Amino acid sequence: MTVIKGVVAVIALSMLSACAGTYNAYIDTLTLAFAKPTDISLTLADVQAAKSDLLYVKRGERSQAAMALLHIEAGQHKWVSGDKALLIIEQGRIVRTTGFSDNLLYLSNTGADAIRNVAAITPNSSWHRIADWQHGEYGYALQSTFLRQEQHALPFFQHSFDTILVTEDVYYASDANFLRTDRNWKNYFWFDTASGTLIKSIQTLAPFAEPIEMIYISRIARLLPADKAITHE
Amino acid sequence: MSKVSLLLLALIFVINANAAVTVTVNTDTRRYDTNPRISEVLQPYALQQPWYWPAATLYRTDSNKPEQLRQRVLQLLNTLGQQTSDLGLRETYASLGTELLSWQLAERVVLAIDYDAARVKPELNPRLDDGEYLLQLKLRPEQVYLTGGIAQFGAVPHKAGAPVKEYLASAKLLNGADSSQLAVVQTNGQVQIAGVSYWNLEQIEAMPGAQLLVLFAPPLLDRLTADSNITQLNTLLQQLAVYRILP
Repeated sequence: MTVIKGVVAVIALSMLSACAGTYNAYIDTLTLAFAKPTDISLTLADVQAAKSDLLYVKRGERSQAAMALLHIEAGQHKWVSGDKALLIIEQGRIVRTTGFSDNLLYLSNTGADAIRNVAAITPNSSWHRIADWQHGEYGYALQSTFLRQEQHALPFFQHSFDTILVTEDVYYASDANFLRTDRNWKNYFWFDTASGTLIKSIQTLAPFAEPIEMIYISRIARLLPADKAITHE
Repeated sequence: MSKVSLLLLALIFVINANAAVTVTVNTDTRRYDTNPRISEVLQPYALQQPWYWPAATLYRTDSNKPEQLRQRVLQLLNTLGQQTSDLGLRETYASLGTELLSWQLAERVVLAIDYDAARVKPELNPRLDDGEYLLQLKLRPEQVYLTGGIAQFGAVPHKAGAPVKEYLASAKLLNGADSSQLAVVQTNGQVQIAGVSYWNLEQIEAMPGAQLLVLFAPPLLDRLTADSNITQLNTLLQQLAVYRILP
């Protein structure tokens, strides 16, 4: 089954290059590749063969899906799903979404996000921003503090990556217009220690939003040591 | 085919090719020989600034609908002023009429404009019909605009996470204003009626850049007749506010 899944994905992904320049065909191809009811899990060869960077995304209890890197522009990575939702990410932080049931319209003060400079994170690091939401919430304040932990092991493709884990404590500072007790939560960012590359993150954008887990699977494939990065066709 | 016919055909082609679409994006005007998609219009500007896409607005500037609507509202205000012996009400209508004359208007095109979404969803990336357009791109607005049955028109700072009632806390309503509800003309062009009285209070927030339009209360006896002049005024004011071009 895994083999069939892999073959389908490889065929679909190899088609990406053929339809470059035509967004609709590109998106349709992704839809074919990723509209699956079960968790997607690609082989290393699939990931390496993909013409575009891939990101595993898991929202709440939903199945893991893959998103493809559509654009890198204006300092943002823009990832698209098979159903044409977009995650817009600045230096690892989700700053805007489109195509979801409730979208993050705006996040302020992103330039001061401590995640942008992991080496500089101290117990005193903090970050304040406001968020606007599509379904009628505008200017809601969030306050974060950060904790950095070294030597956190993460396994991918039979390789254990040594990572720096940054745990962000988020406090929803605004009085929500709904009854909520969970105004505190944690976001997580795992950075490959050797390269400083972000390889995994779990972010909850608001008390009413589900956590979004993101695994940067193409980056991970590129970071594998040479002896493990070789795949046999 | 004679030379004259060929020349005429060529002339028609040139006229058609040059007459399609003119779009002013903020202050920069471009002409398009063929009908461009919205993403094509946005492309030179989209990444210049971190635009606040909910406030991006497209207007047709070659339509006379907004001006006709303004004249209708002004006539209605004039009629209402003549019908009442209440001097306070007369002042209210005159003051609102002066305010409406100061509005810059154009016909708003109903379209959610977002450069990123437009590039992945064809339904958000239509071609523009022939005509003249204004496309406003803004950073996140910091103000909301009070208008309608209120003593002081104008911009006030946007309040984070606040129900619209809070904007009225220090505002003086004019004679005849409806203190129980107001129309929120959201930045994206949607209009919401928000209860602001203790008995109908709703948690509706103003988007940054929204207009808060204080409506007018129909006289008690007229409340059951949906076509009363005041009811009509409230409806037309909401339509006119959607056509208003804000800074």
